[in-house]
Amino acid sequence: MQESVLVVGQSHVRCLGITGSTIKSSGEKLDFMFQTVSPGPPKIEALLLYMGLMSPEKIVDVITEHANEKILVLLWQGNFHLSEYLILRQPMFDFVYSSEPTLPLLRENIIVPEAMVEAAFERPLGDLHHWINKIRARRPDIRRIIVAATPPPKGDEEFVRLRIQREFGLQRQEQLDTGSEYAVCAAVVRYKLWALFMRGYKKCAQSLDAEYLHIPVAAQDESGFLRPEFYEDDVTHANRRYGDLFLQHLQNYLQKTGDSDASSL
Amino acid sequence: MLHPYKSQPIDAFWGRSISRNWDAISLRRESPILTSQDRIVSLGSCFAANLVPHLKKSGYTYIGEEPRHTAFDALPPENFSYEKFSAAYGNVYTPRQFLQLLDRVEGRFSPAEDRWFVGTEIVDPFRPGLRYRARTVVEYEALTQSHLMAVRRAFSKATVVIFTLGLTEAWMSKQDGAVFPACPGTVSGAFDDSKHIFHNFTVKEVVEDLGEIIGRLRAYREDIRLLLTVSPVPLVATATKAHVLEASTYSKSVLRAACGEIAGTYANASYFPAYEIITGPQAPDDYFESDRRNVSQKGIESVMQVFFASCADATPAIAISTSSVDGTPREMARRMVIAECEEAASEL
Repeated sequence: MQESVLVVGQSHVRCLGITGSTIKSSGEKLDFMFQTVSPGPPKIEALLLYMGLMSPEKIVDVITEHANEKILVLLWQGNFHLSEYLILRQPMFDFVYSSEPTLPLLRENIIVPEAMVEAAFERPLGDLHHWINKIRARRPDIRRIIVAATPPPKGDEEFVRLRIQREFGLQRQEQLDTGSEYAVCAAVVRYKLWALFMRGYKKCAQSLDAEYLHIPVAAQDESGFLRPEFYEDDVTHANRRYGDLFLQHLQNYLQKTGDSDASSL
Repeated sequence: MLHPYKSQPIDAFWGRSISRNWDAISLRRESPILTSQDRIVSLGSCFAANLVPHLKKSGYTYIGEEPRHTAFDALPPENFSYEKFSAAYGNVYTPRQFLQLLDRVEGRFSPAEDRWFVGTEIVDPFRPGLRYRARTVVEYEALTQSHLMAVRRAFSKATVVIFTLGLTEAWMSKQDGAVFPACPGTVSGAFDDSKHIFHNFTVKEVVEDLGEIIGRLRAYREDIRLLLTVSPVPLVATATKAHVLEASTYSKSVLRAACGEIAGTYANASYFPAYEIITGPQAPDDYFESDRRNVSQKGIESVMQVFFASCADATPAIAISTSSVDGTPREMARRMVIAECEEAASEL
C-alpha cells in the first residue's frame, strides 16, 4: 500500500507551502487549513491548525478525521522557547547545555542549572504528550506518529533586532539595547533553549513509542543556527525553501525507515 | 557613697523591668542598627531567613545578588532558604562555615571534598538541598563559580552584615576541616566516618572565627558593620551524648557568650537580642509553635518590632523601580511570537 503522510501543526506548517486566504467568504476566520503539499509518492498533506480558535475536542476531531490510516507527522508548536525567553530581564541567564557542553557560556549572565530550564519546559512538553495520547486513543489505526523538530533559531542578531523593532517600534527597541532593564536573549542562549526543547521532543516521542525526526542538517550553519537562506521575514519562522528541504528530508526518512515503527529504529 | 546599683537604670533590674512593666521595646538599641543609607547582606540559620521578608518590606536596601531569574518564576520555589538571602548560600549555621565561604570567594580555601556524585547529578556539599542540580562537571563548576561571584558582589556592596548564629555542632571534612551545613547523608550525599568528623565549637573557637570574619569583611569595606544575633530555634538533633535540651542550651550559650565578647571588643560589631526576646522567661508561651522549636509568627513579629524600633528612619519610603517598557519581558516576548503566529496563544 502506498504511504500517505499528514503533517499537522501550527505556524511552522506554513513553510510547507500552504496557500490561500485564512478568511472565509463570509468573513469568518478559518480555524484550520488542509492542503496537499507534495503529490508524492508518498503523498504529503498538511493540516494547519489555528488552535486558538478551536476547542480541544475539535482539534482532536479535525486531526483524526484527516489522519485516516496515514503516517502522522507532528510539526507541533515549538515556539515556547521564544515566547517565554526571547526578551528577558537583565541580567539575562545562560546555562550549560549538557548535550553540547563546549558551547560558549555567557558568564556575565546568571548561570542557571539546565535542570531548571528543563523543568520550565515540562508544561509544553506535557501538552505534546497529552495530544499524542488523545490522538492515539481516538485513532489506534494511525500507522506511525513522528514528532518533527521545529526550525532552529536565527543567529543573525541584527536581523532579529530589526524584526523586533518593526513590532515594537524604535523607541521600545532602544529600551532593549545594552544597559536597559530588558534585552533580547543572546543568540547562543536561544540556540541552547531550542536544542534543549527539541531534546525534550525526542524524549517525549520515545516515551510514547513514537518517532522523532530532527531537522535537516543542511538547514543549520556551523553553529547550529538556521541558515539565512531559510529565514522567513520574521523572528521565529523558516521560509518556503526550508519547507521544501523539510519535505525532502521527510521523504528520505520515510524511504529509509519504510514501514518500520519506532521500536525498530 | 552609693553602691553602683543605685545609679543603674530601670532596665538593669529584673523586678522593675520584667516582673513588672515588661515591654519588649525596652530592648531597643540606643544607636541605630540600620539607617536608610545602609545596604544589607544577611545570612545565618533558618531563623535568619524569617527576618529577610521583613527587612525587604521595610524599605531598607536588602542586597539580593542571586535571585531566581524572573524567566523561571513560575517554577516552585527553591528548597530551604537558597532564594531568600543576599546570595544563594542557603543556611549558614556556624561562624566557621561563614568564614570558609568568604575564603572560598577569595580563593583562599578550596575544599577537597567540593562535590558529591549522586546518581546522575553532582551535589554541592555546601548547598546540598538545591532543587536543581548539575549534571556534568562543566556545569557544576560554572554554577559554583557563578554562585561564588554573586556572594562576592553581595559583600562588596554591603555596609552592614547581619549574621544569625545558629549552631555550634557541625560536621567537617577530616581532610581539610571544611564545614558542611548538614551532616553528609542527611540532605544528600553519603556519610563516611573515614572522611567526616563531628565537631562542637567552643566559645574560644567561635570568638576567633568571628574575629577573622570581621577582618575579612573589612577588606571589602573598612567601615562595614557586623550585626550579630543568635537564633532562638533549638537544635533539631544533637550528635553529642547529651540530651538535645542540654546540647541546645550549650550551643546557644556558647554562641551568645561569643557574640557578647565580640560586640564588646570590636567597635563595628554589635548584638541584637532576638534570642532573648523569644526564649527569655518573660516571653509568652505562644512565641513558639506547639513543637516548642519553631518560632511562631507572633514571636517573629515581636522580634521585628524591637528590631525596627532600633533602626533610624524605621519606615522609609519604598523605592519602586519603574520601567518605561510596557509589560514584562515575558509579555513582550509572547506578543512577538503571537504577532508572528496567532495560534501560539494556545501554547502559552
